[in-house]
Amino acid sequence: MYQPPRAVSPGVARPANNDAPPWWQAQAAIARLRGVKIGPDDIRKVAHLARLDLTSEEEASMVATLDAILTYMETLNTLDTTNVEPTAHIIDLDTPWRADEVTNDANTEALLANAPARDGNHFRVPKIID
Amino acid sequence: MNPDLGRYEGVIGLEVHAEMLTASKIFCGCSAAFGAPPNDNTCPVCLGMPGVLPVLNRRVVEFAVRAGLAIDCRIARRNRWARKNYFYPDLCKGYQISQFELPICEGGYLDIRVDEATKRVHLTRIHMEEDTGKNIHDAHGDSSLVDFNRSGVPLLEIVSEPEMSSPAEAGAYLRKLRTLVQYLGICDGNMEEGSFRCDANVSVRLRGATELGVKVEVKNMNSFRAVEKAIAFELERQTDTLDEGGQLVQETRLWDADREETRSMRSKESAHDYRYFPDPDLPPIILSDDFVEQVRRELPELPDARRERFVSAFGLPAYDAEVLTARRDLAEYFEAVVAAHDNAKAASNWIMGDIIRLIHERKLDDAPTITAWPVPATTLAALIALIDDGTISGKIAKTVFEEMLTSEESPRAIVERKGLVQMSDEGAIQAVIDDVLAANPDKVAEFRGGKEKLQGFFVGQVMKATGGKANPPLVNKLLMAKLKA
Amino acid sequence: MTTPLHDLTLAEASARLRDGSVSSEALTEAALARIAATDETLHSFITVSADEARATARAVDAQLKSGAATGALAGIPIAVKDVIATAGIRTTAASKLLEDFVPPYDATVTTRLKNAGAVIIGKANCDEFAMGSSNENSAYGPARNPWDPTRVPGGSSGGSATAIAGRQAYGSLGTDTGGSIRLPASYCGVVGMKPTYGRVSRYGVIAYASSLDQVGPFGRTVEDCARVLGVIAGHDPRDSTSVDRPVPDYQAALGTDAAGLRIGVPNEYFIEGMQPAVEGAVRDALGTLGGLGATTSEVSLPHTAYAVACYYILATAEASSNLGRYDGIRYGARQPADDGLASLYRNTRALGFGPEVKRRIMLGTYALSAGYYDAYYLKAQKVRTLIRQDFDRVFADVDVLATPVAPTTAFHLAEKTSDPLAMYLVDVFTNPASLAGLPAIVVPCGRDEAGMPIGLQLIGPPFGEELVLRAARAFEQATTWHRDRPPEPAGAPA
Repeated sequence: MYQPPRAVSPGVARPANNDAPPWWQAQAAIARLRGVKIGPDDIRKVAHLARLDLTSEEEASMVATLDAILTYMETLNTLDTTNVEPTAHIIDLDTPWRADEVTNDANTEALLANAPARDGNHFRVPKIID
Repeated sequence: MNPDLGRYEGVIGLEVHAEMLTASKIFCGCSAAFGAPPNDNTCPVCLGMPGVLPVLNRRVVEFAVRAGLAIDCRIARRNRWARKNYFYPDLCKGYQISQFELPICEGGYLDIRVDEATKRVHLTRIHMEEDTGKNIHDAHGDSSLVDFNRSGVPLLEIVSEPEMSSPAEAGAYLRKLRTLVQYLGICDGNMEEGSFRCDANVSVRLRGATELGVKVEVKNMNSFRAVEKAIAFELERQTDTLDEGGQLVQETRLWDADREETRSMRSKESAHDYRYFPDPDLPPIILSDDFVEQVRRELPELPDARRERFVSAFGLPAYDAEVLTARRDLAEYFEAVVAAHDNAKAASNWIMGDIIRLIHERKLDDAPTITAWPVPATTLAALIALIDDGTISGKIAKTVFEEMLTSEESPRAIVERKGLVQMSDEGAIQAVIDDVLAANPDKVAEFRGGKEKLQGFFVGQVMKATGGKANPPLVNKLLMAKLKA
Repeated sequence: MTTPLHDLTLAEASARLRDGSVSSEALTEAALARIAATDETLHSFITVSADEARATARAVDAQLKSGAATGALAGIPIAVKDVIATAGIRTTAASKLLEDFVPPYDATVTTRLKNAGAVIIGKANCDEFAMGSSNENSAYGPARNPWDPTRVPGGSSGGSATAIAGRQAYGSLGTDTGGSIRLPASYCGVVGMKPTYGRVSRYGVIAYASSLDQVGPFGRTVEDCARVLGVIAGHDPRDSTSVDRPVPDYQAALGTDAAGLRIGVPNEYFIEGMQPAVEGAVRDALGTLGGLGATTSEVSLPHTAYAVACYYILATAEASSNLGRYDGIRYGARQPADDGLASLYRNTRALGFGPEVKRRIMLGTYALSAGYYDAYYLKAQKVRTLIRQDFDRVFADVDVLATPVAPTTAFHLAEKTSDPLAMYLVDVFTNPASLAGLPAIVVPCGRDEAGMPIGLQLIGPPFGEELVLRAARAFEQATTWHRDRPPEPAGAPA
């Protein structure tokens, strides 16, 4: 009988297969050679901003990988963009808007059905201390 | 209220969040009305469920432009939504859709009056954003409860330049702004209920200095008085600290209404990095000339204009006009009374006296708009008409007024039922006067001997004899004629 | 020998339904049986919605029997990527965090499928929150390439592609943000299409990168894809980024041939270190198109090499914000908060998100953070403009662009998981069209020495779906790659 799968923990990373073609190996190596961009303090600050609790192994891994990736991103700095407008939306649209009408009916039970913790029709969270 | 800061001056800026009176929320079709059972006014969009997207409520933009035009702002014909990212249980998407670099309005000013002087306070900007849900502290102690009915209610954030220097100025600015948003019909201006919220940025500097001092943000003030008191406290705290050689910290402090002091927020506030960026789910807001002109055409009469009109068209003193236009509903009530019976000064006196007294007593002005007046406008007008046509005296009118508060009858019906019609028959009054004078010969002699203030005594006796109904000017005229004869 | 039901194309199955020679129930049961037999190997599905599928099949059969009008996909089993909300059916985004999330709403594309009578057979496996190029980031285990189950199917819409290649469904929906439909289509030897940004509604599609995400179809043939596209495309008032533009009859666009089509070949897409077989197959395809009367010319898109960096800054920045809602308060797997409210967030997100999602959230948060916004996010937005301008320029002179899809064919499982940057660079040929918001289709055009499929990408101008469909169809009909089938997975009935 078909059993819907449960989540398994994310796989443990295995060593890279060094038969990977040279093209991207070179790119990534160049990135790594250019030096440290981001350190453990930055990682901790960013992890706090994102509310991600990282184990020390994850922190270390994050330092290495983000450093490599960010170094790669530096290639953008070789482009002169002084007179270029940034693209925030790739399509040009007239402002879509709707009339000020109430179109939703109460559907409280269905909307609360996925709540991990409830108290009546409230969502419940650990006490908020200001 | 205004502390003497000695060699310092206060520098105060105010940030007001006004909940807009739209029927539906800013980005979804849920009702924006207050008071529904918890989480009844919600949908996947304002609950931030996976995959949902915002769709802008056109009226929110109209209201924002309305405010901008009324406050003389520059309306940005192209403005943008930005995401303000932070984590808090009442912020369901983990970001608030707001405006950052390109708000809908910039600049503008409000002229405020403090102690007979007028001061112009400039605004920095006005922008639109969505409100968050509400956290409620659970009685059980270890939980908090979250209600998202308020999540997505449209807000206008109105930011002033730091140009106010005293609690009184701050209070005047707030009151003026509140009156304005009520006039514009965009917000009901209720601080106690949270539809009109204020945070203050307070700092001090030596008089004449140009650099700004350390800025302290003050929150949790739930009334105009609280704002004034909190600012006063904060100004004193800051100047005292500096005078004692202490250091001020840039921080957020909460007003404690019970202890009447500001307290530093307990949680360690690291400076927020909101990581603002343009919201990719919402294209820029592009306002056509037609749109702006339409809003301009539909602007209601603004408080200043109405005040001036009350002075010029109705001949009211400036003070009266000020009081009557302080609330839009009051001004409209006044106009309704005058429309029913054209005596502006009398209407003004009755409203500024008895009507306002009753409104305060019955706390009717707690309501965003007064719907239940102590006396309907047309009824008050009818009462004034009865005075003006001589049916009753002003004094008797007070009695009739008291009856009107509990009776559905017209003033005329009350007057007739209680037999309060003013006695204006000269002959009848003459007879009463004659009786009074005859009964008090010694006092008559004293009066004729020079004791002029006995006139009051005689008038009083005539009134007593006529049950208060004698027409006072007539009494005076006939009495004086008799006494001086 | 009659074709087994699961080997029919969508168009063929649909024709048989209408002529009464097969019922939807039969198609559905066959699909369910096929899934049961093969999904242990392929792992295309996170959830199989058997009950709902059977109910829809019965309803459609009744409609067909009574002669009532039926929709364009009536009775056809379709798989839906598990980032697309299906009311009442678990929608996990391939994440542990949403393991038990059952949305009370449908995505707009789901509603359109249902209105067209489609039988939603299950939720297809993918990379977690659509972040990945190999489907290895799924918390439910990777999908596997039917051509060689030791290899990845590509990502992030791996399961949507394997469901087609593995003949488990007749059509499927995926999403494409930086190549997530096109790459798996190429790796699995099926047709996959990313529409123009704004062509298809994103409402109810769990957001990864809002300014890039698009829902698109997979199919065995171009015709099958066109049919599904026609059903899902169109303006949606619930999506403020969806374009109010009439949907053409995409199937009508298939009829014409390639004669007179001007095909541009950007030289930046033929790079050092590409797998020779890939380059060879694509060049052969160009020759085929030339033989059909199309003209090919070399063009230049000078900013191509910057697309990966540009994409990964913008996409991760938007993702870091889009994923801020996953806090375990209103839905989602909530972890115990051992230390008050702050730990609720941290634990829930730490244990709910996989490593790649965390990495991208970190990257995106960094790119938006104070002091770095201008250098990264704003810069990337400007480079995006340059990339779009490259395309605008060349489309003045050509109708479609033809390119490879990836530098290589499908790599082995675990080959790139320890080198995120290497994984990102797989997207080098697909990121640009995403950044430019352009429509792009992938059709199979060859196989390498190991038998792994090679795809041809055709990119069109904005709302040029008809052009790319026409070119793709012409090529497809002149070749037989689309008829090749991968070897049967272990356990599959004969």
